[in-house]
Amino acid sequence: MTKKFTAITMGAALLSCSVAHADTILGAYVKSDGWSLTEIDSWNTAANKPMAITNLFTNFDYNWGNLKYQSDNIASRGAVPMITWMPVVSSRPKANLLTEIVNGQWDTYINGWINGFKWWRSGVPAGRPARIMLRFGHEFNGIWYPWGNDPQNFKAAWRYIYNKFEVAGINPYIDWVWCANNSDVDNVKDITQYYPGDMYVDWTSLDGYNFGSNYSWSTWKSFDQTFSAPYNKLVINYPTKPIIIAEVGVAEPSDLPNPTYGQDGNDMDRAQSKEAWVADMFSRIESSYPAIRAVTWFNINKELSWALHKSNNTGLQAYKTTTQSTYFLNIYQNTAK
Amino acid sequence: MNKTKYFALMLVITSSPLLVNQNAFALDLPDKQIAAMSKAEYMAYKETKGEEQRALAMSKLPEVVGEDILEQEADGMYMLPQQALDNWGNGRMFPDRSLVKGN
Repeated sequence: MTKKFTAITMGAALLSCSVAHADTILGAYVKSDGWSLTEIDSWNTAANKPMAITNLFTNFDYNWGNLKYQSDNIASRGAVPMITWMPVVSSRPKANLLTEIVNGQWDTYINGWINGFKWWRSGVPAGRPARIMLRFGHEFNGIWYPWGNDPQNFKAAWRYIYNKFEVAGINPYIDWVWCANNSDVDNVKDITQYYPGDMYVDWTSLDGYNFGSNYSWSTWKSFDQTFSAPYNKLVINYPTKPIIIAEVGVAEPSDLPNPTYGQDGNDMDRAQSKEAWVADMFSRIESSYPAIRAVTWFNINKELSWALHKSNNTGLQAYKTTTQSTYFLNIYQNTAK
Repeated sequence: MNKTKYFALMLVITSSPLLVNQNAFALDLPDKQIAAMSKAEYMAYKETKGEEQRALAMSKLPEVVGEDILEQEADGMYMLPQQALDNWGNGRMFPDRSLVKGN
């Protein structure tokens, strides 16, 4: 036992030493949520450094019958899936499920999810990543999702699911990601009110976008203007937690306002440079944001042209150049545990 | 596609350093070590990692800029028409099911 303990302690110490300096893991969200290897490969080829984290969106309609396929695809390319798990179902798109979760009405589904995760893990070939990041109920401080703006029930639901996972023994293989929007678009105006507690969280996280001038209330803003205030809030309140920028995207300066998403702005940002923005972002992370240990670019053209490497996109050259620094990793480290 | 062609294709795909993140294959090691730990050892290990992160995070903080911009954006987003919010939110909440295997 003593020998075993010593070996484990030494192993832990070695692992700890490997992350004692600042570095940032690279990842992305790409079209198809992991269903298409072509999309994953397209990004990996374009970026010149393969992803170590791949974000995917899923909700309570989905189980591991689906997630196995998506996660296997992602793991086959050497990345860890970051499963953005949204407590919503398509049959009731406006329903807030948080109280139903706490009341046990989703136990059958959650228990099935747990068993599915174990089943997936048991089938991952040796040498491939067999863990996930789990981003439950992201952007809780916004009013656009049914689970948003509801801190007490959010915390209760988070702890409820976490505790079920704990009993099932799967938490050592899951990194829990607590992800706020970079600005408080709610009635609470304080993200700490949503925090379930240190023992329930492995990573803190932020989503933030540069909308350019496409809304009447938005202007082209830098990485610092987008993230410095909420970053400092996370560091000051939760200094022991690594931070992942889970969604970041920049509109193309050539984008025009799209009324489908309420965009009522103008084209004043046309002279701005997305290449310069991206270069500045990675430079600033390396020089001034040591707690940011991972970044996943939101690489899809949707509400605006957030992507870097699709047709009519800019920014890829700066991404490729700046992320060549050894500071930016294409290996997923167990930064949180 | 016959079997020989399939395996040749897979060999090409999985050999390409640009497509497959070979470095990440080292991940099994920490998982195995974590699995071998007792609960107490595991909690102590997590605490050590947390303290390292604290030292790193508190080593420097960026100057805060743009708070006024974020407040203005938050006010603007809060006032968006419900339909615009739904169009934004639904696009994330309900992934394209046509891609689901079997559909």
